[in-house]
Amino acid sequence: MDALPRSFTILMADDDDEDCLLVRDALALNVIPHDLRTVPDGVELLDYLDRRGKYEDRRQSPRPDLILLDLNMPRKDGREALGELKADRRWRQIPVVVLTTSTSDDDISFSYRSGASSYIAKPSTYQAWVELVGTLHKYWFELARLPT
Amino acid sequence: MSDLVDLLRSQESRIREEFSERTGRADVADAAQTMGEDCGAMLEAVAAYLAQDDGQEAAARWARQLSGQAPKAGLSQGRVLAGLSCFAQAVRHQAVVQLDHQVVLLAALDDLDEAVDALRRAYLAIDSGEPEISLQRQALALVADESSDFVCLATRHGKPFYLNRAGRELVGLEEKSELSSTLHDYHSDASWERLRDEAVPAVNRRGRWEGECQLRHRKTGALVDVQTRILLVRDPATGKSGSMAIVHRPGGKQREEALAEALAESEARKHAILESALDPIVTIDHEGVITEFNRAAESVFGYPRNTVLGTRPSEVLFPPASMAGQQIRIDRYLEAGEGSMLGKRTEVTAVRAGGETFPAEMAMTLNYEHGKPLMTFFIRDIGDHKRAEEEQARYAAELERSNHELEQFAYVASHDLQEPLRKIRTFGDRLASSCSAALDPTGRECVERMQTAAERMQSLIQGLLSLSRVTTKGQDFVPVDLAAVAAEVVSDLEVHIQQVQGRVELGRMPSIMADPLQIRQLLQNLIGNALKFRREDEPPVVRVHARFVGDRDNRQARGSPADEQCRLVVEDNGVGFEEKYAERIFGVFQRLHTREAYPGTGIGLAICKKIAERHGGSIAACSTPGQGAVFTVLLPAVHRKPKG
Repeated sequence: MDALPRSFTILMADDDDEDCLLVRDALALNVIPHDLRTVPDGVELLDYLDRRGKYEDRRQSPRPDLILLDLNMPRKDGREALGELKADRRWRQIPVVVLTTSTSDDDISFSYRSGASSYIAKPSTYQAWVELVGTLHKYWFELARLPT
Repeated sequence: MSDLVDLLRSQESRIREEFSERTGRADVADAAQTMGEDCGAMLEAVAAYLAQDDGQEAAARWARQLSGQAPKAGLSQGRVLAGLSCFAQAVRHQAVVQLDHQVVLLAALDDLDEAVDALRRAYLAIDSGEPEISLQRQALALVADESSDFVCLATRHGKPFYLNRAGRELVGLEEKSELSSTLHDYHSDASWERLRDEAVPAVNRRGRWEGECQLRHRKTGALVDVQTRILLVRDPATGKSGSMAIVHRPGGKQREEALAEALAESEARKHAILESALDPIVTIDHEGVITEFNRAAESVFGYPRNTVLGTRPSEVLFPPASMAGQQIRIDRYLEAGEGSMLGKRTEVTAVRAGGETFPAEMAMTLNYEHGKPLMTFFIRDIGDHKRAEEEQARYAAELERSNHELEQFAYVASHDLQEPLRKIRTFGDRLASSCSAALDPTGRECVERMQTAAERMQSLIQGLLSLSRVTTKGQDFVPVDLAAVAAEVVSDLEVHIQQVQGRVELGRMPSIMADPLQIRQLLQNLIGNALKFRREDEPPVVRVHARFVGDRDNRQARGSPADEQCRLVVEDNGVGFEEKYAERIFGVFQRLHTREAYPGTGIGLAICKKIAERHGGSIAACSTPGQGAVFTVLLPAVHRKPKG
């Protein structure tokens, strides 16, 4: 483990600003050094990864260590985006945690089949959000080993 | 037969009374002699006597006796006939029956000399083993009587002694009444003169005469033109000419008119039936050409009759595509005279003059005219019926679609409603936790109440979602072991059961075809409820059991053991409810208690009902307050298809 707390880059693809805000809030509340980037849909998620358009500047689009992916988004939804990024060898190894309101069995099994590392339903209370983000951080950035 | 026996017995006893002293049983022929005048009665007596004795021997003896005697002239012919007929029936012996027929023929003569002579010959014929002759005569006599022509036997001088049934009708002579002594009575004056002056001499000379005559009806005086043929009958034994056979065949104008009239009547009858029929009736001849097209056909198909006659059904009544196969079958049918089409109702597409097609039901019958097959189609426009059927199907589909949409709506709505609600809860939370310092106690209480309401609303929405998922997310039916599922549910509830110091008793349960997850949910809701609505003073005891029940009505109606139902029962000793709520409790969000007393959204039983219904079954509850409740779920043991 690194001696100094490293700032991990989390890319959150979600059209729901409030949920993004909640995640940002919870990260702050958990005192987690973080670099949270957000994109509003699947199209921009892939633009970001591919450094296209407004994400051309690589300093503005660091490679994410973890992707939080909402399933229901406009233009290109999370399912499509998941399929595409897992089909691309450049991004295939980035863990994707599906974070969505859907609790449908179909969505769950689709996500895991498509290579999602985890599937979490968005919590309904603030407290739960805070706990969720803390747990995510602890799991992915403290316990789990990620490719560098 | 028994009538005859009775008659004979009564006659016999009468005869016995009269003659017992003088004749005794064995010598009836003597009695006949003695009777003299009343020879008919004598013959009846003979018949009566023979009925119980050895017929053949007695008959032979009687015939011998009779042949030596000449009964007096003026003997009633009818009585002789009756007596002889009686005699024949009574004797019941083949040879004697034959004898009888000759006797009947010949004894019909008033010339009894001839009769007696013939009788003797007939008797000798039997005696010498020549039954064929008499058989032939018997047959001829029958033919003569059944003939529709006027058949008369007369002496060679033209005195009639036999007239068949048709002859009697033609001249208006009752069946039993005596014949006139002259042919004059049956013919017009002119005809009679012609017969007398021309025909009789000609017959006696040449053996036959043919010509035209006029018969006269004795009562009405009506004249009928006839073709006449007269033949001379010679005695085969002596070669002497004996009598004449006169045959009149009704003909000429009257006959044609009568025939035409009868035909016209029959045609009119047929026409009336055809024209008043409500359904189209179309007849085709052996060449497949339409020969009959009734009024209903005109109105249904829209063609005037005369434009259709002579065409083929495939040219006008049915669209070519629909009729191609049909025509082949008709052709084959007309050719072979049999096939699979006869008498069966078939559905065809027919076409009206305007080109509009309509569904029709058709039945066919075959009959023959002049030896050629005719086929008649009975066609029924079932368009209205069909339309009603389609309308119904459309309505059902519409209902299904609308139900489906409603479920879809419930699903989507409850799903989407959850989003803002989740936000309300989350930010309310955030307000309560991060900003509570900035709120006074009233503010904090308000937030708390909002949070509770939002939480409750979320459970309601989740309830709706689960309810809609019963149909939208239902799975295929597979064999489900109810006992195993119940055991799992109890295991899941174990902690809760222990907490309330309750007990769940699982009885015997079969396997059924069902959606396993839904059955689990059903049992979980029912057992959960049974534990929840417990009485304070008594630990809850829940009994779950299931068995197949043969639904007798169902089985009779549909006749299949597949309609056997599984009756699943969940009973408790809890608080129960008033019977009047037995239906209401299955409604969405229906509750009988305050949330404080028993928490819950009121969706559980609605889900149970929906699950039961999706399985083609039903659920019912009965209870008395404080006496526990019994929930009974009926589930078909075998399903054809999940509903919804």
